[in-house]
Amino acid sequence: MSTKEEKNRIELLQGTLDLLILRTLLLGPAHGHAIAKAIEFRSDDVLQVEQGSLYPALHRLLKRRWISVEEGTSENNRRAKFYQLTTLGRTQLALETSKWDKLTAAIGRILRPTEEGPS
Amino acid sequence: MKRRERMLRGLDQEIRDHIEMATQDNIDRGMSPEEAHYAAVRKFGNVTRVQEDARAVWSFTWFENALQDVRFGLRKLRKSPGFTIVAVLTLALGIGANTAIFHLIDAVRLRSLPVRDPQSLVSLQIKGGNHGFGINAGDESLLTYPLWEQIRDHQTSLSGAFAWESWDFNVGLGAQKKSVIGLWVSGEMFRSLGILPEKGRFLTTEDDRAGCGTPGVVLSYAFWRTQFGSDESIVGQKLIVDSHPIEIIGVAPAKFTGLEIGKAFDIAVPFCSGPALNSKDTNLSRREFFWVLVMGHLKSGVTLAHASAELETLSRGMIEATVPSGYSEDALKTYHDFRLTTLPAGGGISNLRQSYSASLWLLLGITGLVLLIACANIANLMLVRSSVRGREMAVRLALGASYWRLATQMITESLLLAGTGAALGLVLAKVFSHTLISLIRTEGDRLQLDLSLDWRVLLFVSAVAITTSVVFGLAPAFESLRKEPVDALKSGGPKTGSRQSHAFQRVLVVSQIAISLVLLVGAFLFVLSFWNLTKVDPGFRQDGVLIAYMGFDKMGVTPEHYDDTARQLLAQIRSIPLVESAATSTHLPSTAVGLLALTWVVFKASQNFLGSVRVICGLCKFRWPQAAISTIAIPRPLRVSPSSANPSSTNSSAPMIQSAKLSAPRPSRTIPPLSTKSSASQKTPSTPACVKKRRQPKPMRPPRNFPPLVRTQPF
Repeated sequence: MSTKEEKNRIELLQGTLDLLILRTLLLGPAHGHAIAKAIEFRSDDVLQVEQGSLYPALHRLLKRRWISVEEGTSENNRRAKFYQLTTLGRTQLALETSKWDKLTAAIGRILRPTEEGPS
Repeated sequence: MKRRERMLRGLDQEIRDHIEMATQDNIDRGMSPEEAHYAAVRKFGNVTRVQEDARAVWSFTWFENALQDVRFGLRKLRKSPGFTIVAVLTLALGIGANTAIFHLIDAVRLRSLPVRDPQSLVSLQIKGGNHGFGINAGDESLLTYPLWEQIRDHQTSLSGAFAWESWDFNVGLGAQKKSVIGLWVSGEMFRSLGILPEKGRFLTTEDDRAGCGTPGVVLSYAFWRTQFGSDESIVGQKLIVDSHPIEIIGVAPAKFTGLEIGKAFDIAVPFCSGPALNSKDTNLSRREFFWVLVMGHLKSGVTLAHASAELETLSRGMIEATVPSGYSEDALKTYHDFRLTTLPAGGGISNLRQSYSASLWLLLGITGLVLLIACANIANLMLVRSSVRGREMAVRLALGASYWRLATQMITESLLLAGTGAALGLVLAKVFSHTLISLIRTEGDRLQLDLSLDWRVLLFVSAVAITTSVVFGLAPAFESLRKEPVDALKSGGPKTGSRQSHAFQRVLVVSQIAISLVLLVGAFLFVLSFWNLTKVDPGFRQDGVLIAYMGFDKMGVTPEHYDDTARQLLAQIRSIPLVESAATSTHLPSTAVGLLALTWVVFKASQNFLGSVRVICGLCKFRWPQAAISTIAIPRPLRVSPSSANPSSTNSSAPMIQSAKLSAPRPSRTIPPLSTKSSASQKTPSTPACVKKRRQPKPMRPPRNFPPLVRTQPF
């Protein structure tokens, strides 16, 4: 695999992955594997997250205190770490979501000017 | 830290669980267990990288990495001692030499005096100099005392005009008597300079009144410290100055060492004490004796040009009021035409500056080239190293190191190298500047410069050198960025860099050789000039010549007895078996110092003579204050003052002038060059070694700086 492509992808996922995690946790506490699965499932498998990169992202969010972690028992009765959104995380999610909307709208307008512009 | 540990605890387990869950999912989808496991691991990615990244979120990884880099870097450098030593020495020399030279230039030339508002400090001089009128105690920036009185009373564009002059005094009594550098100061000086006394008070205008006697003496900080051991109760004690006890009224702060760079003062007394200290001396009223320096601060809003213009207008009246008597109409016409002007003086005045400025800039230029060479050398070394390390970089990349990690590793190594070089450079800078000072310094001419190391200079030079090494130290990392690691690995062992880096290295090598050649030729020319100068025949044999200098006035001999005293002295000296011949002179060969009050006794004797000098002293019936006599030998090989080694002067068409500068290592600023009108000096070369005593039309004061000959042991 070319190192340059790999680099591009990591950069693309930076921040975006954080946003996806926050959004997923809005539904309730979840452990790492569940989060990864949820993201893939909810994006109709379009977003293939390199699952490992989830963990550094989770720790980034923990450090910013946007999410918290608790020991719990998973669905198949194993001890696991459950991540959940904090109040700060909720606020941040709202903020990031609106920023994301603005960004995609702006990029969309640029990429498809004919749809909105006078043809 | 605690939070970090809590958060990271169980990360391994979490990841294992994750993969297990994913495997289970895959099995549920119908894969075989083995297949399911591999698929899960593939999907998860590099476990170690994930763990490191997660840890990196919490830790000061940069610090841990840096420590690691330092350890690794040190190991690497130890492994290639040749490279390390060359690089460190190159850096140290470049940094050390540049700092030392710049430092000296800064001390002599660039630094402002530590006084209030040095930018507005100006000195008052006669426009175009005094054309040799009257008796000149130094260079042409000096004025007569009556002229200073006129300036003090009439000028309006300066605030706090003041006058001063440095002078040799004797302090102490009997055997303790020693010569010190003193200042005559006008009462306005200390207040005008805005400096505050370390102890007691300074001299004021109230102290400096005509006929004041001896109102007090101010000590310099260094004098107070070395001679009185920083005695706290110094104020109020008496100091014997020229046999007169004077009350010590204050001590100057440490940073103020006088207005003349390189010549720190020991004591300061007011001008008005002149008649009291030396009853015969009437310098204060002499209208033909140019010996005081006048300075002042420009009033706010007054420009230099404005002040000059005003002074020029006013000076007509001042000049008319101070016309000296006993001069011919022609000579007086010169005097009537004198006009005053102002010159900036914020950097203080400096004999050193005049003598060595050009040489110092030349030296700075040369050391600048040395720094360039050093940088090119470092760059080249680093580039060569980079090609050697290409393979290492490739391996590390293949093992999963990030580019940034490689870059920081390289930067760390360069910094280690540069840091060691800079530290060594600091030591060398100290050594170099002291060596330089000792080259300029001559006995009998105490040179005191503030040589506390200037951190700004060191930082600047170090920054240049370190930046070079870091920038080029990054080369290996860049090199590996350009190449696919596989290619680098395939190409086998250490290989040379790309075509571009080759071209760059060639440029570096060529410029290095070019600059080195310039330096080499320069150095060769210097040596050649030096060699030529040592071959110049001064017109007399210098072997075994000893010269003693005595101030008859300080010995209490009256002018009418000068001749007798000199004759007696000569007879006594000639009677010593080791002495071949002896003569007295008012002028020294090749220096053109003419003083009646001082007599040069030229001895022709063997080396063992020095011991017998003490015997002469035993025979002497006059007092021999230490201040008044010092034995000087013209050394061989000749000393070359740096000013005469500068190429512009070596091109001079008159070789004799060079020889003059040589045999007396450095003419002080009081001594006109041999080429100028001194009649005595034109005749002296024909009379080897022994020169007849010649009476000058008018007595002159001792030179500001005792001609710098080598003083042997005091006796």
